[in-house]
Amino acid sequence: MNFTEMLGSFIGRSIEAFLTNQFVQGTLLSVGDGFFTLQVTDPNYNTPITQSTILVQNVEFVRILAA
Amino acid sequence: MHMVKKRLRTASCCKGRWKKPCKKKKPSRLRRPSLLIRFNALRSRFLRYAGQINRRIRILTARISRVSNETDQLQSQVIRLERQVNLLAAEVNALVGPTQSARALLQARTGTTATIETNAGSISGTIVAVGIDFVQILEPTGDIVLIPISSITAII
Repeated sequence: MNFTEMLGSFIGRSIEAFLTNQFVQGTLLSVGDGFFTLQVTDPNYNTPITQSTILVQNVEFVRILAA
Repeated sequence: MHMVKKRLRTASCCKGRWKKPCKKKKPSRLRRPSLLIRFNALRSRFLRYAGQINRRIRILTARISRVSNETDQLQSQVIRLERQVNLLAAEVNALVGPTQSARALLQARTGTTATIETNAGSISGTIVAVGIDFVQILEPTGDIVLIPISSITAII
């Protein structure tokens, strides 16, 4: 099993994706070949909810928050 | 002389009503073919079969040579493909060799506590599982962390 397949088993969970100089938190919506999509909930209330697609090659690690 | 004998025979037949002795017919029976006839028959059969066999041998010889040529071609293709596979394996080993070593190290420490350093920070917890290209850590808080092996800078 590779990283993408393992991540696909956590669809719907709240995760934190750590990139080299960036941190993205949201709900895992989908996982594709080499990328995954999060529904990002920005703590800034002024900004709307967005979807962020992150390339796996740029990910340092992903934390799946305990339910 | 012959005429004399004939007259004597017919004369006795006319006077004394003496019938000609009946020539008993011999019972008919199959004449056995002579040895020469049998030999010729066998010879013709042999020649016919020999021709058929020679024809079959020629056909099979042609097939064998064709198959032999194809086998040689396939053998050379196999050798060429083996060389390519060896080259590719060497290239892949060069790329994934370090990852495979780290993977082996992590697999040996499965179930133990470790701290894994990455460029984005360090993660401490129990190594739960090691995949093809990632490691799964269970943090004390209960969070699960998936770390690509290529992102690991140090294992403590």
